[in-house]
Amino acid sequence: MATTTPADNRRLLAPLQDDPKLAAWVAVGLFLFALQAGAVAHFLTGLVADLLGIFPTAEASNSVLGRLVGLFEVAQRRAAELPTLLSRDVVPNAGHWNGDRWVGTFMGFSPAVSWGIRVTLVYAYAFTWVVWAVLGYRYYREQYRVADWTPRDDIVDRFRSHGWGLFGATIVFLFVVMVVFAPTLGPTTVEQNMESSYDYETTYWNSETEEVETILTGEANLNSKSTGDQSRVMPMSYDDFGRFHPFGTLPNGRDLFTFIVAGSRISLVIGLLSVGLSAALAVTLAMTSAYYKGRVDLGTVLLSDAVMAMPQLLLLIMLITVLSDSWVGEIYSGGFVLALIFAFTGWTYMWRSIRGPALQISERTWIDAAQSFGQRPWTIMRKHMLPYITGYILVYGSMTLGGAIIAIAGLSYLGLGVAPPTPEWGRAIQLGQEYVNTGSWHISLIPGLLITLVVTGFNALGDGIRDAIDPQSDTGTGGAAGRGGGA
Amino acid sequence: MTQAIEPQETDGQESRAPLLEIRNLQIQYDDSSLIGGDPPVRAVDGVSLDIRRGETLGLVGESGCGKTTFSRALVGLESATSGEILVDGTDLTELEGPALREWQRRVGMVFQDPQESLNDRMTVGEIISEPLDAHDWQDQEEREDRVFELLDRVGLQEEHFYRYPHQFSGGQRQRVGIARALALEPEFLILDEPVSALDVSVQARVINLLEELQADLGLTLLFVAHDLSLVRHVADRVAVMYLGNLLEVGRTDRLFDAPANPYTRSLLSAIPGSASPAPDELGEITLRGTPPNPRYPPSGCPFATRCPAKIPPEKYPDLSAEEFDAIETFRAILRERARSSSGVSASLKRRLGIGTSVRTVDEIATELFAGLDLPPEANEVIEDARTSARSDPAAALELLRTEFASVCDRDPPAEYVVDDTGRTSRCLRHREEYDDPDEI
Repeated sequence: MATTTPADNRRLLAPLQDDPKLAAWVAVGLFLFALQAGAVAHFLTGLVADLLGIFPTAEASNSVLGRLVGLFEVAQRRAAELPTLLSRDVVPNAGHWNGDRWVGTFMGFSPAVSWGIRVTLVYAYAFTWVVWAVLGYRYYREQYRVADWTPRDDIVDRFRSHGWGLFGATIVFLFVVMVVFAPTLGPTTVEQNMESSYDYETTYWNSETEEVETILTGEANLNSKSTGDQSRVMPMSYDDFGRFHPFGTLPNGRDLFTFIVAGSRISLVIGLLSVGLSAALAVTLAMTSAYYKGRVDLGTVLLSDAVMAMPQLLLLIMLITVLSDSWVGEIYSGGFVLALIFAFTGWTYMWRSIRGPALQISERTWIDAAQSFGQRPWTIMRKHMLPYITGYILVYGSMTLGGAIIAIAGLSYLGLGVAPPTPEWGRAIQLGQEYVNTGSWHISLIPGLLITLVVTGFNALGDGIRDAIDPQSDTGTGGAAGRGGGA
Repeated sequence: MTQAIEPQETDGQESRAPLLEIRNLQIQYDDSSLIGGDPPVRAVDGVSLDIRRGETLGLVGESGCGKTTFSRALVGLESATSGEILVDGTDLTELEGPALREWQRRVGMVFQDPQESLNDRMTVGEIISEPLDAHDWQDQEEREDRVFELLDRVGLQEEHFYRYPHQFSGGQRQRVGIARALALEPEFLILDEPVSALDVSVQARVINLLEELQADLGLTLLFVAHDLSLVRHVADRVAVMYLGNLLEVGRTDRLFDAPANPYTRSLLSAIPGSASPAPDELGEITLRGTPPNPRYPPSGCPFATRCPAKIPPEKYPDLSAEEFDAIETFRAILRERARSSSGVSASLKRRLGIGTSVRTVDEIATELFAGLDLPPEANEVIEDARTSARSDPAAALELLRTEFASVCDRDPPAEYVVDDTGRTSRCLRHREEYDDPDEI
């Protein structure tokens, strides 16, 4: 590669022609994407429509925004018609027994098996993407990167041999796939099973009359409640209407698994949004205060102390109550306000943690060197300081994310935050609370275990990243432990 | 590097136009907190100096004397408290924003520690082209060509473009630092101890590279160093700094052959070995004490507290050299005591009788003055001082100061021209009425 000049490297498409391996890799990527292209288009158009719909003026159908929203909603419906591999239509599990065989399920398997096949496919698909990305990275490292070694290689290599970190990465991967494919994973959908259950019908085999009958889904729910020892639908079992419930049902007869996968979305979205916002704030302030020092630093310290002095839980409860009726409070069932409040109160902890490293870096001579030839302050911060603190941000970010998930669950447990009927893990725990010592113990236990597992996963990932970045760091100290949530 | 200069100017170096004229530059650090606090640290305390086009100026002095601060001020890394740095009639200390960047384009700076001055998350190519990017120098492709040219210029290979600083030896890293400093084709290069962090064998090669570069590119160099043999080798002129002041400035050969200032003499005498550049007749001069705290510099000559050629007090013109030396050493010890015993915890300890420093001062004094036959009045004052030193070293110091202060403790020395090449030295001994430093 020594003969390659940098200018040659910039011809982007040239390598595709004379490197069949690379071409194959790109083709596999495109094929994987094509399998789900419809879902991606559906998601993107829906996202744009929802974003535009946030603004109050969009409600009037004759306004420009209102028309745009309409346009994207149409586009979304079109996108829904595109074929995708991993959809409920391709591998359906909602069928019924007609006396001698299953009707409407995937290839005539039982609903449980059909659902299992769909879940397996989803995870296999996601895993293929990971393998594809890893192979691509390796190939790039061997063939295309001109530098034969970079400081990042050491970090990657150290992480690869960090068992606890890999465990965390696996849990986070499983969780993220669950979030991304939430509508596909559930045995039924939020709309059919919860939001408008009386608009849908369920066909089932009535064993008493020995006939196939139909019933409104809402009424079917009423007859499959888990409320104690007598009436219950336990995990991995069918209810009286031939519907399969991987995690059993809620006290109101709805499917717990569907509830949980849908709830995972809101947890991760709020978590990512709040951590992202507070990280952005913390990094900007840490770099500015470390670079300029003196009064700027003092001012930031005072500001963060003032924010830290506010009682977070009281502020949360007050703002949620005050804003609940405004248009901001309605975005994402109140999740957006939650994320904003978490970001506003949470950046101080992150800023405190990265201020030290930022100050340390700002004392290095290469900052002076950059100043000596007139580099602009923002460029100095971006090029010479940011790379050294991104590691810390990843560590604290992943740990804070766990804290945020706990906090959101805690708030919904108290009946605050995400408004019903939007599913949220904390509410599942709260719903099952009175049945903990009865036969319907699964309602609280399963979401509780999941929260613990996911938060542990994020913390383990943070630990792994920290050890990979700084092998000398003492894993015994609790300096980087995530804050344990606000509620 | 003298050969690079002589062909251009026929009538000697003195007529060469100055690139930089530094006038009475002062740099002070005021780190006092919101409540009162200490006086500022005077890192550079009134320096006036011309740096001439095409010359190599060596700046020497002990560590902490302000030479690095001074050199950093020339690129705008430190802001001056007062005084001016003139380039073509503009005062650098006033410049900000684009105007300062324009000047920074004309200067390159090489730092002491190549482990510290290169960002090790960037490839060598990125590091060297960063000044070009910062100043939007031509287009991307030409920047890359320029980086390859610079790599070649400083003796590195093309494939080093994609390596990271970790993969290089100290000498190679310093070459990268030099290439970065040269990227924008500067006319003035500031070298802040460029080789002191390198192995001796590598030092020579880096020095040779710098000499070549200067000859080829007609650079003006400011060479900051504490290694006098090295400075003698590279510099056309030398400036000797002590406690933020320039004590002697002159042509290298003259300064090394016949140092005029007592401080220069003691610096030269401290170079060990037979290859020492010091004149042979210079015996070894040991300086007493440590340099004073730049927060509280002496009121007269900055070197007065340690000077081996200090002028004796007017009141006692007949003191023998040993007697005067004993008194000055006693003052130096008291000064250090006074410095360490100010502050709440020290005075509390003294009141409670913890700590043994008072006894040791007494012991040292006994030892110092044993066998000396001081005049009776002088002896009396010293006895008084010993008594008060037990409780208050500052008061004892004041007592000694009023009795034994000489002109060196009172008057800051002016600049005296000491030879026909325009060499200057700051020492009161250059006054008519006193013996010259070299006669002591």
